Amino acid sequence: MRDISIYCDGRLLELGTGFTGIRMNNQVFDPTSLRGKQAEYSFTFNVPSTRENNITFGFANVPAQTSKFRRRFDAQVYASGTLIFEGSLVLKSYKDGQYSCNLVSVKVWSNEDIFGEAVLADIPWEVDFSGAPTINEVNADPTKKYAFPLICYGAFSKQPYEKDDVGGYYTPKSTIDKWNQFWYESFYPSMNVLETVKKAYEWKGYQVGGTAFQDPVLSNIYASCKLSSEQVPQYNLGNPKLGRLRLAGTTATSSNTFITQDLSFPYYKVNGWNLVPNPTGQSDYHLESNIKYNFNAVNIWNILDNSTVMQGESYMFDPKTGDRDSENVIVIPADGFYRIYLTVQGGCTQTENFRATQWKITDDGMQEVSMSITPNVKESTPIEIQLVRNYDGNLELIKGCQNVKYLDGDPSVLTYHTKNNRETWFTCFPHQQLYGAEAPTVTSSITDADTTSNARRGVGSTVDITSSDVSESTNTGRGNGGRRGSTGRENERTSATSRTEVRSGTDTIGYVNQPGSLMPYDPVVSPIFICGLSSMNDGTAAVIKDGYSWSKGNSDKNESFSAQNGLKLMTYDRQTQTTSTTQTEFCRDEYPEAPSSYLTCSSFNGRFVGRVACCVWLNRNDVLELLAVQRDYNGKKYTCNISYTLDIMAVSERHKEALKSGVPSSGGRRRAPGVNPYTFTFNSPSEFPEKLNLGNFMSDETKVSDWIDNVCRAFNITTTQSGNLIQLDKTTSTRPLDYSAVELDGKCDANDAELSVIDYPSEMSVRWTINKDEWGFENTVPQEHINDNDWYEWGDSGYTVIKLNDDSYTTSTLNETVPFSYTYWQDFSFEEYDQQGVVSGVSHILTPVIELSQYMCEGYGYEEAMEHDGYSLSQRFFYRPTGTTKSVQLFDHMHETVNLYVPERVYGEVNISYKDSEKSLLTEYFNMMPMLDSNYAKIEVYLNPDEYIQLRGGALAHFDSDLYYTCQISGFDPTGRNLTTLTLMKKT
Amino acid sequence: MADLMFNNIVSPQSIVIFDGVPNIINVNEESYGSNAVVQITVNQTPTATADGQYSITVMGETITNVLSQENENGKRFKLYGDIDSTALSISSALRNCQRLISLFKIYTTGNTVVMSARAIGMLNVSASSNIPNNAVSISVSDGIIYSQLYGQKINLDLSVDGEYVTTLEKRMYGNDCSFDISQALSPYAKYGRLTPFYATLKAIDTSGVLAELGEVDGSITPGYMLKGSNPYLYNTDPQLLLGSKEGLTIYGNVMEVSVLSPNGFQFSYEVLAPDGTVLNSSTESISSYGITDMFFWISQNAMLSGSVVNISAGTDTATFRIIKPLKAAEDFERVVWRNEYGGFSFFDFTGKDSQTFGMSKSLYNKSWFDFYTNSSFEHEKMRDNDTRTEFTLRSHLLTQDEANQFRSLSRASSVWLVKKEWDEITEQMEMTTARRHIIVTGLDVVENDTYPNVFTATLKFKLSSES
Repeated sequence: MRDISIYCDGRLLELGTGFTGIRMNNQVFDPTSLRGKQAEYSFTFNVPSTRENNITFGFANVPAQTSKFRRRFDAQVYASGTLIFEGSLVLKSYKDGQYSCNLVSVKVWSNEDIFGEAVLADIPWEVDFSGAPTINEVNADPTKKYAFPLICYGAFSKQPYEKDDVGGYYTPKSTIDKWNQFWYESFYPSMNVLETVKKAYEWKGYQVGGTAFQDPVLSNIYASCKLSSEQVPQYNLGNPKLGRLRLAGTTATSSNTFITQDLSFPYYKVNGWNLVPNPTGQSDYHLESNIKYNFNAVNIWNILDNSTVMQGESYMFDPKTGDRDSENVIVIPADGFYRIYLTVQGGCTQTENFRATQWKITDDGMQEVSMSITPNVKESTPIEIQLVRNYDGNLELIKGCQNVKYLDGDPSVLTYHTKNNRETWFTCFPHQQLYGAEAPTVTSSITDADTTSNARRGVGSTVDITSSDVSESTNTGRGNGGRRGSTGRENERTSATSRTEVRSGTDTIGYVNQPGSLMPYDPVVSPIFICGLSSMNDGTAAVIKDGYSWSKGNSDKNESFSAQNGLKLMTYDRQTQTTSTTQTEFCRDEYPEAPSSYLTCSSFNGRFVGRVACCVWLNRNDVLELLAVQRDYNGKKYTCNISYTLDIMAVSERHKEALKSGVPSSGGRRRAPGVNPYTFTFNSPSEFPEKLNLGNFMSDETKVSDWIDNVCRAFNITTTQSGNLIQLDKTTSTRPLDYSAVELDGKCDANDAELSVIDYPSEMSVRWTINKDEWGFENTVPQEHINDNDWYEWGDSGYTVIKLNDDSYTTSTLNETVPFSYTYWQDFSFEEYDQQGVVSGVSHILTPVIELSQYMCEGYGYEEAMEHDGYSLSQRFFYRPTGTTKSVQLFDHMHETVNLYVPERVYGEVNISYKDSEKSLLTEYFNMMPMLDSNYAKIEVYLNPDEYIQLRGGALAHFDSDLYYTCQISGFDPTGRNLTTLTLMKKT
Repeated sequence: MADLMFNNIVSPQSIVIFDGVPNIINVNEESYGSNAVVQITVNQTPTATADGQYSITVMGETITNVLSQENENGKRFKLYGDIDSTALSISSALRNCQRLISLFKIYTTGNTVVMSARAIGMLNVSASSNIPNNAVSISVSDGIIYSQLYGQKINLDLSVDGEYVTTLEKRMYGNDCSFDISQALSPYAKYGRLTPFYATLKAIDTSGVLAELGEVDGSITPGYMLKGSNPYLYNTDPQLLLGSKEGLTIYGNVMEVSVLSPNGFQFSYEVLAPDGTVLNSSTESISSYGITDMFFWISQNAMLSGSVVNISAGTDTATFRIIKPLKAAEDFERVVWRNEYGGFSFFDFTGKDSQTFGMSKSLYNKSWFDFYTNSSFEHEKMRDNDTRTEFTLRSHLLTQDEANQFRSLSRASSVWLVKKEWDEITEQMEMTTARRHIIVTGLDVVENDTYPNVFTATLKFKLSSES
């Protein structure tokens, strides 16, 4: 008879009258289960209600006490000083002065309780990352729990080896050669599975340990990158190498590398009357309206094509070097705000008049004639420096705040008939006529506002700003107009109504930009425009307009910060026939601490100097180009010298509203310094992290709790919790300890044992989630069966269904499917080259391929295939790469070398499969080696506490002079008063 | 090299075993070696901080340190200023690792935690810690075992009458592995017959080589274990298969015994008068071997005058006391049974006998539908009618030795009642060779309240079939 002590939350329970003793049960090993999860619990026992016990149980005897039965108490049970149980005590009921209690083995509160709705991408796991050097360093360091292996998530990016009108011609997808384009993003990180689990728990404040981490196989398993379909992982753009680009250089628009592009919004309208023969015969000629533009095309140079100097390293720029077919472009790495600071200076070297063919109204009508052009950087020989994105032949001029028209087309002519040959007027918005003004475009009215205003007011005259009496006042009553379908639009219409009521006095003409002010550039003119400088109109700096376009024809919403004063509202007083302007908040914007944006230029010597500072929302993979834009004189060009600096820095992934909210960034991002309320300024540091968060490369849809549960299922890992400690244990019960056995022959007679059959199910299997449309799966189907109707039956699904029982009456099956995929591998040819670039050898790389078959088959177009990837396909596993013999050069300006580390398929002879034909997860970690020739033997013995804890821990039972596994311990009485029933299984 | 023992005898010859007795074939090997040991010595206490956590990992089980004493439970230890206390805390945490406590005895000696494997063997131990080496040092020695069979499967092929019967299989653990072959042989054991068996033991040893461990042969016959009886016999000389030879009695004039002999033998009996005079005797050469069941009549006159009957088989003898007063009456009943050696034993009950009857009926009810239409309507009908007769036999007054005979009867599974028939010549009931199986339902041997060491036996039985 042993004494029992129960400690509950560190307090000794009083076990007096009413204590009924404790009988412990322990499910040690279930041979008919795929898993052998341990469960330990007690039969219900009673503990008296005493003063001390009431305190210990939180006065659960009081009816008014809430949550009395929801608590779990840390419990330890000692039998004569031997700790026989450690876990939780739960109260079941209280009646007649007795608490009914149960002891249960420690378990994790459900992972759902711990992680809630958190997704994998929320797990913070920050590491240093600086591109290729980090990739090489980490891959070579086996102590790192993440790696950057070469995995085929779809057709590797590649350039065509030949192009024609039909398209590009590519080398095979299964070949890695010099046509491949690798970037640091080609090597997404793969994380150690157990370490990921550990990071997740640690994130929630738990300590993590357990036998799984010491298992050489389990601790060496890495996972492929699995992202949601729209998820784009973000790199640590706070690292300047990844998120900042500083360029400087000079160029001259003298080379012949320019392209000529027609403008949709041309300039220098020739809008005279054309004398044509009179069809009525009453006179020889009559006047007919004829519109031509003398500035309807531009010559464009990519400034970055020439002598570019980079300050520091940056992956954002891909200059053309050597024979590589680079584009000399800037590639935006992630969605977000980018601070842009562009400075330029230079001059037009054209000082002499030159002749060029231009439209002119002559006595013979509208004709192209050769005329003398006087160079003037402000007008006739202007220069624009534009930073654009995703150029596709759709560049338009900045032009500035006013339009110019030469009635007869010849700027040297002062008077056309009785009128000034040259007319200028404000644009109500860049490129847009004031209400009623003649459209400056080759298209008709481009905004709804135009149409509305024309119908509304019928003001047909242009407004000569030289004669305008401009007075300024501030109108703060207007919101941001121009947004299609927005409140602003409604406001504008409401205002229009009210304007109608006062039309006898004044007419609203439109919003105008003032000379010298930073101009908001409407994206309806050119969606590619980001910012730029123009020498026209006395010099103009422009930044893409924040918010929606004025036009309903464009629904894109841009976000930008720039120092915008706000447009002025121009009105026309019909009585005085004067115009006036009122300062409004429309298009007003701020970018505190930003240098002023301007361009000043001299018509005298053609010199110009300017800068523009802004912060613009750009999207991942936007391709930026810095362009020099000049007027095209039908092939005649003039030369400008340009010096520039360009600084682009990723600053935030928060949208404008958040940045203006006065709330600093938080979470894993770098907190912007500053006073509270936080002010986002030009000098605000980047909010992008300096370190790479590996969590970004995990799904933002998969819940952490689900993923951990599934990992534990996939590797048969048992999770238990003790206080703040989470234990991840590989299931050891399937591999009982052969080294020690508890001697039972001295305690029972083998002839008294109840022998019984082990009811195995008819079949058992652990299955992967297989997508038959995957390239890897299809590749495993033998060619002779690929056209069979049941072709997929011939594929390798990575698991074996083990038939256990042929008895027809046994219909139960034990098949489990994990949501991960079997890993399919492909043999890639790897071409090696000598110094002359000639193929010197071909080796092979076996690496996982994760992509649908339709995109990987050679018959599918390479360009289209490159637009797809397999990141959203089921996650799969492999072992950490161990070595490298091959390398590739990154397709960036630094030509960094990345040593290729390829995942391993086998570790210690163990494949990551559920096949029984090889050493596998199945054979090593699951109970899939059933002892069909074995049986249960149920015996009753008196156990002492030491024997109990040995058997509970997996020790064998030495019974009948033989070795048996302990499957179940039932009714162990620590006091020794009662027999314990042991269910044993003969070890065969 | 392993030794083979059968019933703790090395290579027994001509052994006769009984199916109701454990018959143990034991493979014994003097394996030796050392226990795996892990020693964790706390030399000094490192400074614990909240930033980093110290841990010790042994065989994949990890314990970690905590800063506060109240958290020092489960697999958590605390680093105390006193190194002995730290060692004690570590040992406590290690003991909470179920796998470790199954494998090791874990205790402390001063500042050292000692983990000694519970068994010798090839236990490859791994242990590590991130505690600085000068603070906590860990030494590990793997377990070693020198054994050919440790942990190996031992196969025992069993043949009976020259025919393979079955294979028994066990795992060697420790120094020996034992098989009880009685149950496997039991179906082949038959009364009155020695059934030869043959067992060979083999194993694939630890180096993968087939090890022939030896053979055992012998004979089996039904028998059981009884206090004072031999668990097995050697069939080397003729011997009477009686249980205890003390307290044998006889009343009827028929002797029933069994003889175990390897060859033919001389069997004789003699009836002696109280003064030792031989009243009747006979000697016969028996040519049979194995187990011979003897059944013979003794002169009634000699029985009337004699006091004992001596019998002998070869040199083995036994004496039966003739129960007096001998009335040679029809009132006695002889119960015969197969004793612990499978031979015949008998007892003549001369006391008053009686019998009781019992019956049990099971009934069922019919429906009432035929109540008006069937004049012989029965509602309750009999489904089964079971009747049993229980007989009670009583002995004469018994000595202690005579009373001990009933221990054998109480365990016997084959018991008969000898049939008697009226003999027209002697005009009395005479025993015959015919018998009826009976089921012993009760046997009481009671010491007389008045006279110490005087006993009376009462046997209750029923017939195995009423017919």
